[in-house]
Amino acid sequence: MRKSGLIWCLAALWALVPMPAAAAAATTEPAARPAADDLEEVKQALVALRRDLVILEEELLFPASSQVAVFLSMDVGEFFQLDAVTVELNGRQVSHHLYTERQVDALMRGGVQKLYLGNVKEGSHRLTAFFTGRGPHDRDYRRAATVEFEKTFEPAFIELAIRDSESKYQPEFTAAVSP
Amino acid sequence: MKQFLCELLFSCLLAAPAARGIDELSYGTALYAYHQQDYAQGLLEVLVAERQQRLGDDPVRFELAKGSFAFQEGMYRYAADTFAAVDPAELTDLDRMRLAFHLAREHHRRGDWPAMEQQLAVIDLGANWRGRSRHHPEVSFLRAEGALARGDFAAAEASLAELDGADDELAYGLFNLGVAQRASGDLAAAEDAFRRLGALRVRTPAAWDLVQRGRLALAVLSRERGEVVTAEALLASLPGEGRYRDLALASYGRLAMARDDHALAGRIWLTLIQRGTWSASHAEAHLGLPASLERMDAEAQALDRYRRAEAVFAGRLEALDVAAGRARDPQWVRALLAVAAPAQPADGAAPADADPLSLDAGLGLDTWLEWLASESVHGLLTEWRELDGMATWLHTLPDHLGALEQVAAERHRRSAAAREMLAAEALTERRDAIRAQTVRLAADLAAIGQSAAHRDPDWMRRLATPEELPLIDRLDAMAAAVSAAAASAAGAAERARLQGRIDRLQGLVFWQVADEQAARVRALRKRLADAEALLAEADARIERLAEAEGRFAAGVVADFRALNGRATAVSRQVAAARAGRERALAEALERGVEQDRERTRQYLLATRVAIARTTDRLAAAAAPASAGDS
Repeated sequence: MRKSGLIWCLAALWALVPMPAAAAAATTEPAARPAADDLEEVKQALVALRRDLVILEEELLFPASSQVAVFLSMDVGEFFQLDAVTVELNGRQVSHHLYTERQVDALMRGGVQKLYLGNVKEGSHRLTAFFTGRGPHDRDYRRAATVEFEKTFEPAFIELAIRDSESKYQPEFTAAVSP
Repeated sequence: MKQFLCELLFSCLLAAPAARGIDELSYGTALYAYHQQDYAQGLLEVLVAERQQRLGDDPVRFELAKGSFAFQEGMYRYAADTFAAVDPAELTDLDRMRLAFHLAREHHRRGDWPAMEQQLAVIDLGANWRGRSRHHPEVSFLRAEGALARGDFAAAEASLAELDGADDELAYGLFNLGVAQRASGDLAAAEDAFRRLGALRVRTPAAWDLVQRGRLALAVLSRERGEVVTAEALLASLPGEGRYRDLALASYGRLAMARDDHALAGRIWLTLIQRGTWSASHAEAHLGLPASLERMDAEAQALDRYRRAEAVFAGRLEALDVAAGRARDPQWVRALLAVAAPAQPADGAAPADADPLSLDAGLGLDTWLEWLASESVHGLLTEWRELDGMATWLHTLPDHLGALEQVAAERHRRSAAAREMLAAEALTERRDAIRAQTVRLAADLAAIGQSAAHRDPDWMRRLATPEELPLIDRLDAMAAAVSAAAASAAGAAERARLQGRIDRLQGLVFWQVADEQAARVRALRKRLADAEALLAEADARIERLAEAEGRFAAGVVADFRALNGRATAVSRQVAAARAGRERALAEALERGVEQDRERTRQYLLATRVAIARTTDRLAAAAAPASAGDS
């Protein structure tokens, strides 16, 4: 009586306990979602709205006649681990960015960061970028790259680039105006 | 991973000696967002570049990126339409593989395995410089999935063998392989797959979760085979804290009972009970502890524990009854969801019940969160959160648009003022006059440049320096005076002498001018060219000023009206979709509550049966003693 009662109790208990997660069948199909289409429609409408808003903002706040945009790209990055970039435009600091590991990784994978978007008058300007990080032999490394450019009615795009110089075993930093 | 993105998904931006064009930079910014898994931003970057016509000579890569980002954002139809719109004639071999990859992912999502494998067959990454085949983790994973769907475990194994131990895809692949092999009855193979999964050194939380599931599955298999010690060792390898903590402890308890080590089992059940958080394992512990006590012949304590368990289950049943009532109240459901919302509710005012602590008063926040995390609810909750984020953004949009409209109005006012200034100061007319003058000057200069030098004051004046000009004028006047004196016939010799001196001086100036004629013409031409450039710049500026107002009137103002209208329409769509999710979530919660009630009723029933049995037994044990006493 005692033994059978206990076994019955445990059997009932085990029956109530859900199966371990590992025993559940693997599925790649997402659970059926009610009215999933409406979400997609909303997303499409929203992304189109955001696109037009971004363009409108750019036209209003950064018109082509005064717009200057600074981009940062990185290739390889074996000789330099980027920590931060500071951008000075005509001697005035306009941007400073500290990089997370994920952002550096995104740059190394071919991503380009829009570092600064601003306005300048037509005429000659000087842009200097200061790169801070760890250089060869894990030493603190700080270098600058400068470019002088002529602002016209067209928007000015400047690319800051960090590249590895295989011949010098050193990183190279460049700043150039995009054609 | 870099290889994946460079070679298959997108083209890699390699080192270039000079700055790249804006199309390259635009594509790079989209990649920058993509690599940070910010797919919405990546999609936005691509759409902006598309609208600004910054696609360069290779628009196909933008199309593929657009489809890929849309896919990642869950916009499957949009992604499929984008891929379908790509002209096959414009695709390079690499593009063709990229497209096949994207389509394979879409077929995988739909579970259309033959179509997926057809697309995967297009992908061939070739070999590296050492002659070894190159693989892409996600492609290998998809191939393994296709093989599993066909039941070809060997092919699945071969595809998974291409993956690196650090790839998350390997954890998913091994888990699915193990589950499929177990379902097919090949327990040894399943055990091998779970063992490999359990030994992986992974980096992401999702993969680590799978590793724990793998170890747990392995323990279950070992227990099924009666290998208690192995199962215990596997459970011991699970972390003390984490998602599977209670499940592992419960398994441990069962194993201890199976080995008749009821003292250990009792301690394990007690530990689970003292943790306090409600779960199936917790409920199991409430029943397992008195069961262990029974086996240790501690009947009285067992009965006491059964009664405590009865009180716990009855209390929970009451709380579930209350919860079932609450789950039918949309306001309360919204308050519950607000706990999981990324920000404050879109409509600003948080419901009074939104405080998570107030939720804890009933069933416990963990219980609610557990229901919210269940697979049936998780998808809905994710969508609700997304919609809530959209609603929050849309809620602030009118203010943002208002500020932009003010900027536009100010620019519009300045443009109008500039145009008025152009009219008031007759700048256009004056510019036209200067232009005419420049044109005349250019014609004169051309004539001088082509004419031979001749000793004529007018000719000399055109090329004279500022210092020479007064000298030429003075000599010209003196020559005129001498000629006038000749008419009065006074002092012919003196006149001749003066005439000679004037001629000599004029000759000196002439020869100076004639000698430098070519250089002076070149200098004048350069000055004329500079003046023309300045004039052209002034022309462009005047044109822009003149046109600015018109552009604003036709473009920006109209855009604001349209944007406001669209924002309102999208807000309505979002509100409707969010309300739909809230209804569905409420229903799902009700179902969750009902399932939990049913389980708790069964626990209660089992407890009461055990109480009756233990009471009987205690009474039976007491009866002979009483009979003996009497």
